[in-house]
Amino acid sequence: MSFLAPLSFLFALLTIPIVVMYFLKRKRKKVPIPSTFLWVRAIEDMRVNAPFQRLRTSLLLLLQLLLVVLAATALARPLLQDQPSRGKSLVILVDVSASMGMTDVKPSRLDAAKQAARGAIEALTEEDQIMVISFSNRAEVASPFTLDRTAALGAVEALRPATTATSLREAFQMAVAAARQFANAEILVLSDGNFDPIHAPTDEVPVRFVAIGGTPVNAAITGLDVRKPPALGDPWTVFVFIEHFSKEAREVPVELYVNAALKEVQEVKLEAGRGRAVIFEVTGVAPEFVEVRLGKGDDLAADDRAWFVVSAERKKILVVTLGNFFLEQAIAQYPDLEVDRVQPGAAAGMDMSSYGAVIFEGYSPPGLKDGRYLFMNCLPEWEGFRDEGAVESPMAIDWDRQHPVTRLVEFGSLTVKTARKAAVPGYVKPLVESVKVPLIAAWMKGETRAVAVHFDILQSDWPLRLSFPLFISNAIEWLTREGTGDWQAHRMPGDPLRVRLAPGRSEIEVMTPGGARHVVKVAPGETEASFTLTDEAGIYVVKAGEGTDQLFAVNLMNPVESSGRVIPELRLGEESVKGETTPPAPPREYWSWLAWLALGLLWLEWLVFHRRI
Amino acid sequence: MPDTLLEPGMIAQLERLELVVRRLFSGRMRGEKRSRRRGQGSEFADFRDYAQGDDLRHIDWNIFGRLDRLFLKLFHEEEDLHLSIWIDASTSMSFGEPSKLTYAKKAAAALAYIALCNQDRVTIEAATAERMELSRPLRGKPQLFRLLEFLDGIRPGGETDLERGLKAFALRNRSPGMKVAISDFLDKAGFAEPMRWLLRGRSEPVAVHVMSPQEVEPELVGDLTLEDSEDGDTKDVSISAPLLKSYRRSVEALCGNLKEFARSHGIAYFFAQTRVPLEEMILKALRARGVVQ
Repeated sequence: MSFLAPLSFLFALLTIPIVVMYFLKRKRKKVPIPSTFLWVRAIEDMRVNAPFQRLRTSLLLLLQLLLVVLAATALARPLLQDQPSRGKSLVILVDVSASMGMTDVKPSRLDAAKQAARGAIEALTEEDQIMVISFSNRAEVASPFTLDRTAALGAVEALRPATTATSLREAFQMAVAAARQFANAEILVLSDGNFDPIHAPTDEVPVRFVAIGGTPVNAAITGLDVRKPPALGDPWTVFVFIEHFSKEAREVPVELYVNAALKEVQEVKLEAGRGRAVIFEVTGVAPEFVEVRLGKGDDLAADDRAWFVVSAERKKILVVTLGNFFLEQAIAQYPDLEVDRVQPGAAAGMDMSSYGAVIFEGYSPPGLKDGRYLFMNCLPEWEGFRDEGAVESPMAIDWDRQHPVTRLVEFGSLTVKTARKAAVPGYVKPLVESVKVPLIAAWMKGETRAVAVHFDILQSDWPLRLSFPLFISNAIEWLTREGTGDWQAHRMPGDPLRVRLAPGRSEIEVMTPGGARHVVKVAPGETEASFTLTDEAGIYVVKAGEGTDQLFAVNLMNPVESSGRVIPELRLGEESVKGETTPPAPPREYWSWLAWLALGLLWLEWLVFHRRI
Repeated sequence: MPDTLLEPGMIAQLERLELVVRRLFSGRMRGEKRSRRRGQGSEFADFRDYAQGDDLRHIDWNIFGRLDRLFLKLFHEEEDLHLSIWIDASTSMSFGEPSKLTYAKKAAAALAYIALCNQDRVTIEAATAERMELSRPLRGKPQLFRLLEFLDGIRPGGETDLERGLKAFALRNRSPGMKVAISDFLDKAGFAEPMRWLLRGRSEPVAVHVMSPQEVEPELVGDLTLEDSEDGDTKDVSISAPLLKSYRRSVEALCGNLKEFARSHGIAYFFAQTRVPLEEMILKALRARGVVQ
């Protein structure tokens, strides 16, 4: 048992004046009566059981003292809870990521998390301090350590859901750093656990985890791509990938908006737990931006809409090759592309900075500078890249379905005669893997962005497959894209928008999907402006110079968030914290019972005073 | 005001009543009461043989004519009754709402009026330990006003001394009749010895015990000092339910003892709470007990 307001026990000092007054009270009120004759006998009668009677005369005093003590105890707000929490420091981490907006627990997961946070805060006494950190893809201190529970409750109440992915690491590190300064500290994580396991030292700060969420029904747009027509007069193609996270099949209308006008609606049958692609063909209008909506509501609204901005600029690439028919065919599929071709011998020492991307087929020149490259059956002569022989008949067993280069590309049953075993630095990310070696890899380092195919496509059946032109198209798309820190096909909420400034300008103006206008000023000399307030999904309009506005699409498109899975335990390196499914119930305050009891005593006192007892 | 002691409605009812004495006794003057003495009355009692010197007027000539023997007709002599009322006028009688003394006066007025209507002799005295007020003997309805005037003049004050008061009362009123003592009987010396004085002489003793509702159910609260109105004695009490219970037992004991004493000594005992209307007392209780009819 502990008390929220132990200072109120000072009220118990009121017992002193009561006792003093009781002894001063000896002067009794005089009442004339006809004769004491009858009373004398009554009093003598009473003397027979004297000890009890003596107690009875001070019964009123006892009742009054008890009443004051009870009232003081009630004011001290006693708590019934398992452990006393005197001088505790509690850090509450509240997940506000997109998946917390799910409504599978009513009214929403975030509200459930807030409820749990409120419960935890109300459980504390006035001597405990509270810190509230919200986290989505970044961490934010909603309330630094405070003794003021009302302020902490206010901070919790003010939390708003973001439409971003989840990363616990930063928030957790902040929490540990703050909590370890205090002896009796605790970290409480309120989340559904839609994040990668983190390896963070807890520094022996106890961690509690409340898993929030149920079993959501959610269809999500996790992929959206718009392809230009290969030839004039052909239709534009819109690829939509919809994943369905539910145990039951469902039919969902998919609405396509082109340049903000509804173009087409397809009724799509979604199987339980599966994803499927939906393809729209758009004719008659050149799309500038495309929006896809899922018509039927589900537990998460944030992933029911996706946007795509069709790039207007013409891309320029260089192909260094002896000539490869399949490669040429695949490149020709990519619309609006300006292609230069050189023989490998002419490539060495050539200035390639004016090209959006360079494709090396079977040869890479020495002394290659940073840039955007596709290495096919060859490796750059950079540090850490080494050819270590060949592997016979590798089978593609897994590929990265998230990476923009391999998204929507099928590598199953790919037959390759020989693949090179390449020793590569650690930052190279394998995209397609066989049992022994990666078949395709990609990496970003500094200004460099590169994709490497570790086998000769002519020694495989790949060029005959549909996946090859798709891959080439994706690779060109990814390699020629602006900006650097962009692994995703689309910008996710929270990702910065990087905009190249027109010469002579030092600011950009951004209009968010919500309609807010922001002006970003840039230090003189900088060529790029960065806008970071992209928590909203939708289309951002950027004025970076004279002429037309630049459009940027920001989409959630995060299957992890959309899945709404709830992890049973929180993994922290070697440790794991079992999730408490029930939020911490606020400890029962029972001052009201004491107050009622005090009231009862008051009534009893009245009865005794008016000699009913 | 004298007339508040007897309400007009009640006067009519009282006129129909008369006092009853169970013992027959001889009065000083001829009244309307049957006496044990045979003789001058109008109500036939018995016959007896003529003896020399009997009043010839009482010989029944009809029987002489039939039987040729002389019989004397005997009549109940009708006599007057002496109603003497003793009222306790001590300070304790002034308590209660309505006060016990007022009640006592009303009761006395009612009884006295019954007596006056029946040509009985009435004397009333009000006494405390220190003083005594005595009315002139009254007889006949016209004396009602004097009666009321005397009763109205009685003022409470002084200590209770039943022994002295009743003794003097008994010695003063030796003639046969009805002796009525109206008091709260709150005498620390006890009531038994004084009450024995009521038994003296050939008279019908009646005790009217007056108590106020405030005495039966005290409305006291808290820690108090109770002060005796007569001798100034004080008692500290903390009012509690057990104490009140004990007090009630004490009241019951007083009433019970009085009643028992009266029963065993042939005294007609009446307990009267001042809240109970006088009619109830005179017209019902006294009638039921045969004190009036």
